[in-house]
Amino acid sequence: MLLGRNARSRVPHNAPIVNDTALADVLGSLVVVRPTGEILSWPFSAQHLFGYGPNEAMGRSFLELVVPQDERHAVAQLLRTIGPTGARLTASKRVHKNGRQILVEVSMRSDRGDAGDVVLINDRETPPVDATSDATALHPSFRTVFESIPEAILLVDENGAIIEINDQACRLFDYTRDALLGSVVETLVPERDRRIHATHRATFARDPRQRPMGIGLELEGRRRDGTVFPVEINLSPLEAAGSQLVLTTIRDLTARKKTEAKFRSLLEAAPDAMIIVDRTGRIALVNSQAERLFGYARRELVDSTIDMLVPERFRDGHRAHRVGYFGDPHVRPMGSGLELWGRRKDGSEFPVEISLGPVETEEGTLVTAAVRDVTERKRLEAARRRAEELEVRTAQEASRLKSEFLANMSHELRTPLNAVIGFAEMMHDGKAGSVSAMQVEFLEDILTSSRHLLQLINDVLDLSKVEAGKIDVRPERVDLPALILEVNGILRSMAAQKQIDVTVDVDPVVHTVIVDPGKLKQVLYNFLSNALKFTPDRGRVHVRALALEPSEFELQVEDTGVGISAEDMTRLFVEFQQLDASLAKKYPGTGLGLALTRRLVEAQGGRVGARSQPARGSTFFAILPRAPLGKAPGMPESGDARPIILVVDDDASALTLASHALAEHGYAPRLCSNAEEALRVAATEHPAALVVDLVMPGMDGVAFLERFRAQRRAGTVPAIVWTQGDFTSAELIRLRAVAHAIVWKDRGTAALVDELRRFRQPNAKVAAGEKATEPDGA
Amino acid sequence: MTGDPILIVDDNVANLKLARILLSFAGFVVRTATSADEAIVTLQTFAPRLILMDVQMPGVDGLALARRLKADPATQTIKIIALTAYAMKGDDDRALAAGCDGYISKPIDTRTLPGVVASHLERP
Repeated sequence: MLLGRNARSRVPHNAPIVNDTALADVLGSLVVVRPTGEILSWPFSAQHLFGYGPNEAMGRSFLELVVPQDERHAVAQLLRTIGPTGARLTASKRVHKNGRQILVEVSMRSDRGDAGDVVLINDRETPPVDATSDATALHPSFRTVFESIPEAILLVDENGAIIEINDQACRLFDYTRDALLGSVVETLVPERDRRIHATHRATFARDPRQRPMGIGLELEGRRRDGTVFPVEINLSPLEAAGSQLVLTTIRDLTARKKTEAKFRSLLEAAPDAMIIVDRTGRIALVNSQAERLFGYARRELVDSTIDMLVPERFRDGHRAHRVGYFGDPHVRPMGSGLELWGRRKDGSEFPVEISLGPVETEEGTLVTAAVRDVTERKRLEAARRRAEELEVRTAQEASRLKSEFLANMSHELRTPLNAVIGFAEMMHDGKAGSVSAMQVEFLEDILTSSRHLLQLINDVLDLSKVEAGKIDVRPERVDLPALILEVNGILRSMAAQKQIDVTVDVDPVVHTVIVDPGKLKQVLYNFLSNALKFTPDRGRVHVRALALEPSEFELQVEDTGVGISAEDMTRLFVEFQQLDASLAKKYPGTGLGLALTRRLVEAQGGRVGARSQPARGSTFFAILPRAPLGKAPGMPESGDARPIILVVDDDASALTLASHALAEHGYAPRLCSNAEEALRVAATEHPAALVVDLVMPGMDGVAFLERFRAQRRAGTVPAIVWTQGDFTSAELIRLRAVAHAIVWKDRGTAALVDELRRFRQPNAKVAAGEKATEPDGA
Repeated sequence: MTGDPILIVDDNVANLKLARILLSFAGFVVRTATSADEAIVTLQTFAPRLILMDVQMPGVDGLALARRLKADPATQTIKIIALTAYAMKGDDDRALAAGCDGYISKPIDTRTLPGVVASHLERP
């Protein structure tokens, strides 16, 4: 006996066959029925297999309880006819209490019991050969897999009936498993979509391929309570026991849609056009600002390539940039200095600024590009530039007109004074006939007043230039003793009148300095005329030029005059501050002289001062740099080769002049007509020295030198400024950092060659790469 | 020395008169012109040894006149002294650069002008 042998071999003797599910799985259920099917015995194993408890089963019909309709007739017949030898059925169907069909292997035989014939029915569930061989009876391990997948999964047969469903799917649609098994899959589809869904299902059945469902459509699922929610569905065909099944994966998109909606509203709120692009350049998302900016509708943009928004000539470069960006995605703000262009649907182009930022999504890394049309800004910038240029030109023109006006004005004012003074002098000197003593005295008054007026005009003219911040400086090599003698000469008659002895002392070290000679003369004139004015007859005035280390010199005028009180010292160099009202009568002056002197000295990077002892005398001094620019580092030795001299000048004739002179003196001139070109040349040809014009269109000479010095190893190359006009002191200060000598064009090319020769002194050998010589001076 | 012919060019008639009287008193033979153009016309009939010339004049200015005279073989031996506006301003350099033989800063010193003119005439 099959059953007896099994029981004996597997179960300990007399052990009750109860409550052991593992054993029940192996042995199957043993049910005793009458030949009519009435259940007489319903042990645990039966309860385990079929789900019904003994109370639900005892006395009921086995046929009605667990045999499916279609097999009932056959089983009923078998129960009536089966003999004691029994029968075995390898594949019979049963129905579990929960409605699930179970495939069982059956052993049956009749037995003679106390109450007449009975039939013993041993049902053992047969595991399916594999998951697909008969999906209606899933292998337990398959079910485990099925349940362990985090996605909601349905298995649907060719008629659309749900034949398996996992817990996730049940939860998703809010159904119990039993309620759905056997139901048509359209139960889970919103009413309005059911008809079309059935059609689609038929289409899929004709061409079953794995694919996402309803690409580009907004799919929705329907819960038990009728509410709908967005889903994404994936279909995989399964062949099982000759029937076509469909494994359906359903993903709830509610959360994602919410995030997307939030994201989209953020995008829409952004002031810029926003375009989100994937690694391949496919546009994933745009906002309406992007639609407006580029003239495309959203549906034209989404899923197209970003190339369509890039002018054709930039596309290759753009692709390369994109690949590079995805290799290192980082936030790149706008205005990174790139000139970028966008292309509208109508083909027109416009300048844009773009900021980029990576976005991590389920579809991988995407890039958000914020695109801003900068046409208007560019236009405004250009307009502002034009306005600024105009302003500069206007200011320059105004300044030129003012200088011209002042020059003319001073000429106009002084010209009549010339005649007034001259004729008064002639009359005073008796050249126009004899004059009385009183007439002589009056003529002296006329002369004194006229000369005072003349000095006022001169000082006011100078000061007005100072006030306008417009002191032009023209430093040159100056022979200091000669300059002092020249000023002395101008004031000689004044000194002679008062019998004042003027002595001069110049330290040989500062015999030659590089200063603006006109300015220095004026400074000395003011000091010396003051000294003569305030020194009593037969006094002494001493002019000294002293070397101050490391790179300055002091021009000093010492007198034996009235001196200055301590309180007046503070007001010395201030405009319109004549010290003593009583002195003002005796020593007429404008009160501008020393203020002007201070300005003139400061404009050259120097300073002024005075020491005094009342009644003993005063010493006024000006301290100035010996040279306005730094000491030249010297030209590197170039061996046999002719040193390359880079000449930068926008004036073609100046270039020609320089070229001839330099070639003639053994240099290799390299000519550039603008600063931009010169920067490129300098970077590759390593000139031994530079000759640079100051005033050039575009980048001027100072800016060029500053840019050049910023280059590697450019600090040691000596530079000569070769120019026509004067400098403002501000320009001179900038030049101090970048140039080493100034040569005025009107001094001829010989001066240029001289200056270059100075760079070639033997001690001027400089190793390449050595730190730039710090400019000397203030 | 005295009796040497001198041309004075100045657009300001008062100054012109002052210089004319000063130099005439000193014994020079003086002709005047109030512009560079007039000076050029005068020079066709009058050959001065020295020209005293205002730098700043309307029309052709003194420096342009100097350059022109120094470029012309017929007039380049005439000594030219510029009357410059202001000793400190660099007019003197410009005058010398234009070919002038010397300069005198205005206002002219009536006591020294004849002597300065004479000393220029004495130079080779």
